[in-house]
Amino acid sequence: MNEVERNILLKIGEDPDNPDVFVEGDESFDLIRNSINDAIEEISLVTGSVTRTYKMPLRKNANFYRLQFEHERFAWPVDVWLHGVKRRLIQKDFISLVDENPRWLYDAGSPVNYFMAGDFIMGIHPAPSSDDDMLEITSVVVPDRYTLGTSRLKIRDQFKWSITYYAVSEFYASRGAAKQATFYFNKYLDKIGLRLRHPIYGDKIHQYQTIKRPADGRMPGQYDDVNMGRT
Amino acid sequence: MSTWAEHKTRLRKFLRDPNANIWTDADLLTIWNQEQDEFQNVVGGIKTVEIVRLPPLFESTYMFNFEWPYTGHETGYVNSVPSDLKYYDQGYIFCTYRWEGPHIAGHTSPGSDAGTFCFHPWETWMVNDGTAADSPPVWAGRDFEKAIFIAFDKDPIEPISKKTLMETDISFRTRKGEVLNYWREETIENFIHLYPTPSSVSWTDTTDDGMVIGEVSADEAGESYGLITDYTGAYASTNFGAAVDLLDLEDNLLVAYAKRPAELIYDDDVSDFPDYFTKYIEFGTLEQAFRMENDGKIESLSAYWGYRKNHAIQVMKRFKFKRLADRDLCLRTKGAVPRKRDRYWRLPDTIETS
Repeated sequence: MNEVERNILLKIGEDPDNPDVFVEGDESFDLIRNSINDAIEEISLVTGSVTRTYKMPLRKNANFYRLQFEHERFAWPVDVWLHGVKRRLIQKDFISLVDENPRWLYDAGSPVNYFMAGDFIMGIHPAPSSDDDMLEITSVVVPDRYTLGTSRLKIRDQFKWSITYYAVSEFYASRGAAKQATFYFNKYLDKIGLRLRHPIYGDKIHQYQTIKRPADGRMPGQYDDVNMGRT
Repeated sequence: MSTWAEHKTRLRKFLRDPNANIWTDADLLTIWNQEQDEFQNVVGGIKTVEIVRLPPLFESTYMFNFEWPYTGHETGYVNSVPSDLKYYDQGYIFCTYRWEGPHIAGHTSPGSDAGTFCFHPWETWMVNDGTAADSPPVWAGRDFEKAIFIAFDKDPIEPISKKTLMETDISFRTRKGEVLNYWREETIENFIHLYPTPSSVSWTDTTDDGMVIGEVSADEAGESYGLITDYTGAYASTNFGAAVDLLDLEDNLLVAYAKRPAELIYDDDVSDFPDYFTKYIEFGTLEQAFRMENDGKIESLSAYWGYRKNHAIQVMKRFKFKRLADRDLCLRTKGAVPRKRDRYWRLPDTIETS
């Protein structure tokens, strides 16, 4: 039993060292483990915190590659690096490719662009002209669901309490306690800081702005000592 | 990937109805499929790429509606002709040529049809004189909803309406040549028509060694081994990296499209949504299940799962946005006219002189 599972049992009133109902290995414990796995999946999708680099050998004249990972599940690409040439590929899409060159499917050479042709299908342009090279695809992945108490939870430590609240929320939902379930789910949302720490848009860019000041030094809107009126 | 049986088990745990005393399996399955569709509408389609071979293969072609249950539609695409002009509605008659219907009714026929009528679409390219009287339907893809990009023989083709074709080309049904556009007769089927119809097609994909979807275990995989293959040779296999699909684009259609998720029917069916999204469909299913007018109706739990579902939709939208994270953005002056690039055909990079 890992730390998160122990915290969950504590929250729901079980003794982690001597549980009455949720004994590890029993079917009842699957509910908790499933909830933990669901939470890990959601947090990794929202934060993009788990990434892996996959080496994909290129095939001559093959534009399309299906991303079927044996371990973990592909979410979205972050970087695509052409290993032999040491070039970073640029992300495009069908529309821009057709706009730039309607006969783009005829092109063959050293890949310059990549695009997501489907949810798990990556396209390369131009099509590789040889079998010699490979792509290093750094992508955000969703970790595989763990099954053993000794398995590593592939998520940052700062999210462990978020996972706990998520699972506790689902436990109370399974017991029919909607109010408690909602309370803990809100705690999960607050803990993960979805609204503040992981906004959709990128980092803020702080800027300086010059405030024009009159020669006499008064700020706009300040009172004039003589006329007692705003300037 | 979780099967419907596994989803059912999880749902029943949250419903506290393991023996289906309140919610039957059919109830849950119906709600699940509805919710799956709703997620599709709200968050956007599942996108995929398929190669559609030409000539198009169909399980069968049928004439009358009563034949539908026997057509094999559950295993493949079926060509239907009741909606076609060949069906003479007044007499409940299936006619081969359009002029036959009025002739049977005792009227003067409007004239002969140009070309030869074909029953199965692939016959279009087997007529002796080379002219088929109709544009053959080509299925656009499994669960096709909306095209993103279509290319025939590596050349992109554009959508066009039948109305425009009728106005600009009186022979649009029989014209053959280099494919420039595609059009749809109707939208109940996932069929498109190519305009002009390709003059010829490649039959080599139907050799004994070739299948539409097959597996190749040799080091070399070429056209004779099919259109979509899982390559398990020395260079790329699931043991050594991502599996590679080899798609034969020559003389075939490349269709990138948004698809409707297929409805689950059997216990071992798997949703088209990625595995990490299927739990959100469960939330929507639970929301509806707890709102049904039966002994299990609990509005507070329905509200809770509805709240979870709304949050899930935000997560999925955020995911779709994050997929563009690697995109390079360009700067543009506010208020300026967007840069418009005229679309034109470019000369090839190299021109063969011999």
